[in-house]
Amino acid sequence: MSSEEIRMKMALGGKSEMNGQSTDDGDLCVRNLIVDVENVRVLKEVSFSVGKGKSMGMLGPNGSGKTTLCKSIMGVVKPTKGYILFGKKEITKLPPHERGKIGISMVPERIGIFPKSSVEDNLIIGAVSKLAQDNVKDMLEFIYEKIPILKEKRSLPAECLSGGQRQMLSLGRALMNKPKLLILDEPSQGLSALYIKKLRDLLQQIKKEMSLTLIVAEQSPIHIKDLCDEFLVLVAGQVSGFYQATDVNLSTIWQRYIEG
Amino acid sequence: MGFLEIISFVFFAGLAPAFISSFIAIAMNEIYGITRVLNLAQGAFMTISAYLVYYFFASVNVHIALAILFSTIITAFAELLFVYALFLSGILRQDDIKIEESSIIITFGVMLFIQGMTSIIFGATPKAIDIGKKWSILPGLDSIGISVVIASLLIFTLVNTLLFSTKFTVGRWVRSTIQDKDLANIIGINIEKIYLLVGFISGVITGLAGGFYALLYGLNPYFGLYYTIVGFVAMAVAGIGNHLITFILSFVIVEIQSLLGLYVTVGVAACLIYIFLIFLLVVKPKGLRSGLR
Repeated sequence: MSSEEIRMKMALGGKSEMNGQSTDDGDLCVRNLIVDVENVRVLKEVSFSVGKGKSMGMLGPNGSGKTTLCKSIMGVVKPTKGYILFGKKEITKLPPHERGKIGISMVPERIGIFPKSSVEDNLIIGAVSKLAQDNVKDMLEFIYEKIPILKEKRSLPAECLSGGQRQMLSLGRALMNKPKLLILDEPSQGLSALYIKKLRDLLQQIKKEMSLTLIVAEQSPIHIKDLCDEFLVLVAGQVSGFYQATDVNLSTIWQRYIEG
Repeated sequence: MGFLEIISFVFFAGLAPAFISSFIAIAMNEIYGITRVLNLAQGAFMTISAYLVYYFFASVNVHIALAILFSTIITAFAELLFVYALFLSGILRQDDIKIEESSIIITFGVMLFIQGMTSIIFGATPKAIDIGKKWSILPGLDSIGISVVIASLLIFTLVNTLLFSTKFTVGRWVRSTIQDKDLANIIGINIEKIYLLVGFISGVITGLAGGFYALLYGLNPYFGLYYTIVGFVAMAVAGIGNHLITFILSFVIVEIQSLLGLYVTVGVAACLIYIFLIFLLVVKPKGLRSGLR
């Protein structure tokens, strides 16, 4: 079943239909997700799906609920209502460490690293699933091959890295978990054009090699237009529209932001 | 007795309490680093262990080594349960500042509770392990010998803690949780397990300290408070997660206090040291080193 079919079915169906649908390992389905944070409704009945190996850009202005949605998928924020399916499993109530074990990883916004730990320790920390822990050495080699600067600085404290290098480290750490689904929350925030390009190229490469399902939250589609297959626009906690990569352009998105 | 002899005597006599205070300081630092709980009951947990050693050794006639082992295990589980109760109550899910505020009140209450229960069960009068019986079990060891044993064990504990936190994945997770528990949670580290693990490790260290204390000194329900204060000061000045500096500082505080005791009363000696440490914190509010946070 294609992601489009799943999306259509989700849009039309109820809970029973969602439970009955056959999702593949690596598919993500979010349905009627409502999230309240300190009595404020941040997400309002958000539904979407991403097929295995596909990448979805999550676009939205500041305060639209992108980070909350990312955190809900990772399990850091508990939904008030709604369901999240990953593969054939309902994960709505799973805590983050259980989601890590089944192959969901997240690169948080504002470059999350552990500054006092070495670069290599930062990477090893990311291997939280059993599969990843059994293959730490191989994964380290893989990451070092893809991001050579991390190998050069492997024994230095992570606080010695530049902003771009830190973001690469944050991505490397998420990849150490051998994820099936990788969520990136505004990865280009605060990065130079050079590092944004590096990051995008790396994600494109890794997505193919690891058959990754990607969700990339950004304010603007500029940096991720070539990376994502489809786009979801989130405005004021609601899904405002879906676009294929070929249909997305900056003026349409801005218009969506303004209209809501 | 010459001056140097007196100094060296006082120094060696102060070794054991200095090492014991280092144990407590490290245990407090572990707990605070991970949970942000300022555990004012750390010394009280040590009291539990010391009284258990006394009970096992003096009343049940268990071998002293086994008595220390049993009391350490019981204390470790007691502290683990304490941390778990804090976790279940939701206190550890609050902001760091709120955790610090509420933990001061809660752990102060726990300290009073443990002191009260110890008084009720064992009585308020000082208790001591029979010295003759003790020396017959540890032949050839005087108080200096015991200090050396304690020092070796402390150094062994320190080295292992260091190795654990740098060479093992779980240790790395502990270090990362100390630095940023929200980020650790986001990347899929099981924070609850880390809390319990650290509660247990802290309990083991505290249990050992209590066991050694019972070997050397008389017990009363309130002796743990002194070690809590030294541990707290050492932790605050050293910075979170700095086991080595915490160890050195608490050691130095107790030793200097012993040496100053030659010239001034113990109370004045303590005041002088704490005035100096307050001065240090005014100059460097984040501690001697910023630690892991």
